[in-house]
Order: sequence, then structure tokens, then C-alpha cells
Amino acid sequence: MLFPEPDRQSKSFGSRSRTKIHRDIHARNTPNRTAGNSEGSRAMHEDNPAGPDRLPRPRTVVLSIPADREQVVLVRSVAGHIAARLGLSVADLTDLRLAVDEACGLFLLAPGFGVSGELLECRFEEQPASLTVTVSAPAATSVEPDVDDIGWIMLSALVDELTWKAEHDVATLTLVKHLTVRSS
Amino acid sequence: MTGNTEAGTGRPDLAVDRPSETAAGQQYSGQQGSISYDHEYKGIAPMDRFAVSVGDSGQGRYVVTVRGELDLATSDRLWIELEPLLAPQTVVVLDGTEISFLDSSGLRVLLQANNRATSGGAEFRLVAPQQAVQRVLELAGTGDHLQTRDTVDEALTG
Repeated sequence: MLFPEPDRQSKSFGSRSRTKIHRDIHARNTPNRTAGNSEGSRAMHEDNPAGPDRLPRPRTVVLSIPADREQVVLVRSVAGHIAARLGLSVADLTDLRLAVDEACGLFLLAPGFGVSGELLECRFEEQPASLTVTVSAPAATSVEPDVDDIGWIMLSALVDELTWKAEHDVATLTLVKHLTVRSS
Repeated sequence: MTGNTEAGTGRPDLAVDRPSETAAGQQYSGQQGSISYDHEYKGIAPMDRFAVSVGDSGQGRYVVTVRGELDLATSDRLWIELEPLLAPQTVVVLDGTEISFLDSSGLRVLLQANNRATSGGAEFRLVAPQQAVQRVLELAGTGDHLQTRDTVDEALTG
């Protein structure tokens, strides 16, 4: 069947609602800041898309979510805020939110994924000319992209580079979005 | 009524149980309609970010209104509402003008509804001209598979 029925067997894990967000700014780019005051100046610039150049680079944001479809809204939200801060156009921001949603869906819709309480890790790495989003999880036997699936087709069209890798018991999906200066 | 009906079983007689005077846009709470899915979602907080309601427009025509985010967490709930409506001779219009986010899981349900309609002698029409939906149809290359209309009135008349 070209478009299989949604898997209604999968259940959410409402009780396992642990969500961990942590941010890692490379120390070498902030030599004169102590942990205390860097927190304040970071917060000040975070919501200021107009001044991204003042932020230290490279920067990495890591979000781990339980293997629960309801949690994907958090990943979309983080992706949207990062895109806004990078000054992406509304169209690119929307595409990025959709891309991370599809990337997470690849794992979360795989039969049996999450039954052992796996966490799905989403890593956003901002580079000067690109944004790399890496979604990874302990390799479930059944997680593998189906290149004929509409989710994968959409994902391929949404990002500039797309890589799937499964090794050392970890499955990793890497998306790269090239950043262009907004012309308007 | 059949408040404890197991949703999603594909029983064709479900459409017969549907109240005929349901106001358009009225929301199923699980008590007033014939199809309840509350029992399946107990323990999960009701999600404001997604709502689906079914309105009966008479003569076997139904308007299914979807608001909010139709994604991998919510698309099953749409299918539960859509499936029993897609009986022979019915026209099902999906009013998705207030869909704010759509992903491949949501699109799969729309395509599945379309397939079911095509094979079962029903009509399934989509009203969702906004970018959030059109972008996904374009990316997936599936726009031609779905019948789309600009307005609900157009979709109901043909």
C-alpha cells in the first residue's frame, strides 16, 4: 500500500514526561565571562534576531525528549526560536520546524521505538553558514528510513543535506540547512 | 447511542447512528455524538492545540472542521472521526482552513481518506488554501491526488 494506515497501536508515555533542555556554549568563545554573568548577557541577546553576530559561535543547543509523539511540539518550538534568532525568513523558519518534526517522526513512528524508555536527542549546532540538526537515539531494530515514504520525500526537499547513519547501537539522522542572508 | 463504540473499526453502520441534526461546527464531546474517543485518551490532558468537529450538512454531506496542529500526535484522532463518514454516496468536506501545522502524518490521513472515498464510492474534498497545508502538498508531490476547493460552500456543491 502506497500510504499505509497510521499505526494506532503506539501508545503515548504520559507518565514519562521528563524533558531535559540544556545549552552548551563553547567556553573558548567566552573567555572573560564567568558562568554567572554570561547567563544574563546570553538571555539578553537570545531574543534579538537583529544582533546574532554579537553572540558567541559556534553554539549548540541540545534537547532530549521522551519517545512520545506529544513531545515533538517542544522540538518544533525550539527549532522555530533558533530559526528566528538566526534571522531566517518566515518560509525558512516554517520549513525548519517541519523538517525537525519529520526527523523526529522517523524515529517515533517506527514500530516499537520507545518501549524501552529511549530518549530522542535533538542537537542544534549553529555554524556561521549553516545550521546542523542531529536527531539520534539508541538504534531500535526497526528504525530505518523508507525512501519512498512521503515523510522522507518531504524531508529531502526541506533541507540541503540529509544523512542517515546507524552504528555503535545509535541511529543518527543529520539535517543541514544552509544559511543565506535574507535579502528583503 | 453508541457512546462506547470502538472507534476506528471501520464499521460502515456507524454513519447511520450519526445524529442528523448536528449543527455545523459543533464539537463532539464524546457525549452528544455517536462517536466517542474520550475513553481512548483518558490520562492524557486534552490538547488545545488540536480540535476536530463534525457537522452534518444533510443529504449525506458532512463538514469535518480541523483546527490547530495536525501532526504525528493528533492525526489518528482525525482518522477516527473521518473513517466512519466515508460510506458510499457521502460527501466529506475537510475544512482545514484553520490548520496551523501539517506534517506527513497528517497528510497520510488525508490521502488515506481520499483512497477510502475513491474505492468506496464517496467524495472527499479538502478546503485548505493556506501555506501551512499547500507547502506540504507541494513538498510531498501529492497535491494532484486530493480534490481541493477554495471554500467549504464550493466543496459541498461539487
